[in-house]
Amino acid sequence: MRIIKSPGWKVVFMRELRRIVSRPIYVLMTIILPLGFLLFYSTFLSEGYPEQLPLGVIDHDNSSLSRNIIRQIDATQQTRVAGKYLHFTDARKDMQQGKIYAFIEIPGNLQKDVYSGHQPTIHYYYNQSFFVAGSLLLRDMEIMLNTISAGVDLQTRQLKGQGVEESMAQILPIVPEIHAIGNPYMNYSVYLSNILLPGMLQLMILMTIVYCIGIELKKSSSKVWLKDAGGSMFQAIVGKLLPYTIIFSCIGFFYEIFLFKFMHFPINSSLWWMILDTFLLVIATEAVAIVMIGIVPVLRDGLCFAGLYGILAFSYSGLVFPIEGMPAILQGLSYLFPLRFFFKIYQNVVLNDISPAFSIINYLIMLLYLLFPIVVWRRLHNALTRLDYPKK
Amino acid sequence: MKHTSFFKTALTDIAEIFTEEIKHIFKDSGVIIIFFGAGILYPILYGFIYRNEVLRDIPIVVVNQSNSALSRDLVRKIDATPDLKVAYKANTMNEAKDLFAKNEAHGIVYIPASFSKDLCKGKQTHVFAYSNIATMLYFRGVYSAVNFVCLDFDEKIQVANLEAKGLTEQQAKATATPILREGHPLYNSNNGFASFLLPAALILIIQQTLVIGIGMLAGTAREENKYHQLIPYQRKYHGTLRIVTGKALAYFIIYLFIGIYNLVLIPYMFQLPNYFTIGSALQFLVPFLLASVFFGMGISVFFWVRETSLLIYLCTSIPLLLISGFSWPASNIPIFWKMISYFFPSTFGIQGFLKMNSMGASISQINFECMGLCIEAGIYFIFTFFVYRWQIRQSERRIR
Repeated sequence: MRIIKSPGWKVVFMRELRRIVSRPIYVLMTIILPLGFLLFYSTFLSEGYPEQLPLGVIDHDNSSLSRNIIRQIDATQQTRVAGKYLHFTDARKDMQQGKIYAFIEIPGNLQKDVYSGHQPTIHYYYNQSFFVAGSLLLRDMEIMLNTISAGVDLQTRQLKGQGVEESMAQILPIVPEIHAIGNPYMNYSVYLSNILLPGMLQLMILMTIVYCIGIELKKSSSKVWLKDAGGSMFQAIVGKLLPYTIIFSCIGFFYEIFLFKFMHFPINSSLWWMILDTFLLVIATEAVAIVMIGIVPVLRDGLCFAGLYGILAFSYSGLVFPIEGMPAILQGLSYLFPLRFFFKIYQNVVLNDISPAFSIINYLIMLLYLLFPIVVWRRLHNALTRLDYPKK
Repeated sequence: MKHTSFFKTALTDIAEIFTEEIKHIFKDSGVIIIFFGAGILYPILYGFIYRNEVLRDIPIVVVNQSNSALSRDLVRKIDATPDLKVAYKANTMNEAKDLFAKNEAHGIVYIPASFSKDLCKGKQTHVFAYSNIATMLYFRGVYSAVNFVCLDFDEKIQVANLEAKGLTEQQAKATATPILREGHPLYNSNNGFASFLLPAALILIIQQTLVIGIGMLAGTAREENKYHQLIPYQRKYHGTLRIVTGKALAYFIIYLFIGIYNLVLIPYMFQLPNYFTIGSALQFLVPFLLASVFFGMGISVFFWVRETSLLIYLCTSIPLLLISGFSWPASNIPIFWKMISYFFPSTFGIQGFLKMNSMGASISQINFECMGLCIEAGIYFIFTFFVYRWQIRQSERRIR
């Protein structure tokens, strides 16, 4: 923000600081809650990758081979055998109750069929209503059962006198090597925290900014506010938002430093790019907040509006479900959310280490949000001077 | 005869408080936005956003440096998977990275020059795939498709080699894959994303709008009466139960409709899993709503100004969604957060709703969740009662 010679913004700035310390709600919104969320996300997801997921087994064979398979499954990091069942129905009931996320059914005569070359089939069932657990177990079971089958193959070949290396080249001639760029350990905390925390920050910013302007309307103090700014709406806004810009930027920077320096999240570029991204998110969100209270210059309606929008931003960041997968009409709405472009920049510049030049358009869009309040400038000015909107 | 008149006055009192509260609700545009705007429009919006349940044909770029018949076949097979579409063919890794950087391709498949030569010589070879985990669904698509195609090729090559050594087809297959495997998704069987996310969101929408709305009404009541009391002084102390019941009844009845709409109609409209009938929905909805209503009334004592509920409580939505255990597996939630999660009706609500409506569990199978909701309803009712009584006593004292 540009500093203007006349002291109007300074007067408002000092006035706002006094307001902030006078009521606990401001400290709660700007410092306590944002730090609380940091504590929540960093401890909640501390495991990083869900391990020892419970799964069930139905063993109709009860042979040394089937018992060996169950032991192998139980021994992996990812899964643990949480229940052994006699019937399919029992396993399904436990799955419905969420006690297990998947189960394996080993057919009778497994061992006999394997060694007589009859290719028995092991069936496995997984619960996709619990998407994360279901998908992880699907993958784990695919890998485990494939390994077990290949193990029997290897055994047969070794009995015939083939070496391990030679056998493996026969069993697995093409090895698929699939890498996750920027997050090789598939750490969910890295995946989620990097966007959920800035998402919480933008929500707090929206609510706080709408509140601090809306409360002037509700308490009819907006004329005093404008007068302090020397009658200039621009200075009034700059002076009022400056304290929050400073506080929220510091909180945001603290988030990034905490995640990348303390938690050692993977970062492929300089931390400064992340700091810049965070700062842009703070000021762009503030601009959007001005638009919100400008459109509905009533405190409670403005807060409703900002809240519903702020929650929607999580969906529109494209974190869990890509924007490209949404219906075309709803894709366009993604331009209304700075969080979307924050995420794109993070993804490209910080995670994928692609030159920031490729993201120039995203940076420009972030800056364009700053012009957004022009749309409601007059309307907000009228509301501040005339105070003709309902106050309740 | 005195007995009847006591019940009669109690009932008329409750009815009076009930109508009064209904009037309050419909006079308050903020509460209307939250109850009816958010409670009814939000589910529709979310339904449309996640309308395409699964991602199909994710565009990827292939760098095929082997360029042999076998490698081209591999690329064709990858293209043929429902998950991926080979949108670009690049000559070098740098070209591919460029397309990846421009977000035009969401994955890279790299086949090294030695691919076919290695296979001919009977050596192991590699196929590399890269994707960005920042969007988990893209990574999932690339992973499962490339893995599937490669393993399929492995089996075919092995069988062909064994047949060349003189084994019959059946013998070769039995050697290559001594144990077959077959996966069956039991619930949400088309892997739909909406079918996973929406049920949890719907429960949360009901709870959050209810709590925020009740908080706003409480805040208004305080702002509008002289002594900033939650309940203005009207009648004697024995009326506490009547006040609590009357108000709760108003919220409960309104949310019975919003609840049925969210939990029965919306899943039906958006073709999500819907095992619920109106009857089984009510079995679940009644304890869930009672717990949410009394939870909302109980904590409304902390909302001094009408905006506070919105300002503070709304922010809990995303954390509440996470600690319910619908995404990050409940079995892996740290014990501390698990304890915290039991304070909120949404935790039992989301689990119970998923199990009943998405997986077809009966009410007896969600015993644990049902008990949780009933205990919460009981505790929060008692809490609300004492909070209200304390507030009423305070306003009495002020008046004296």
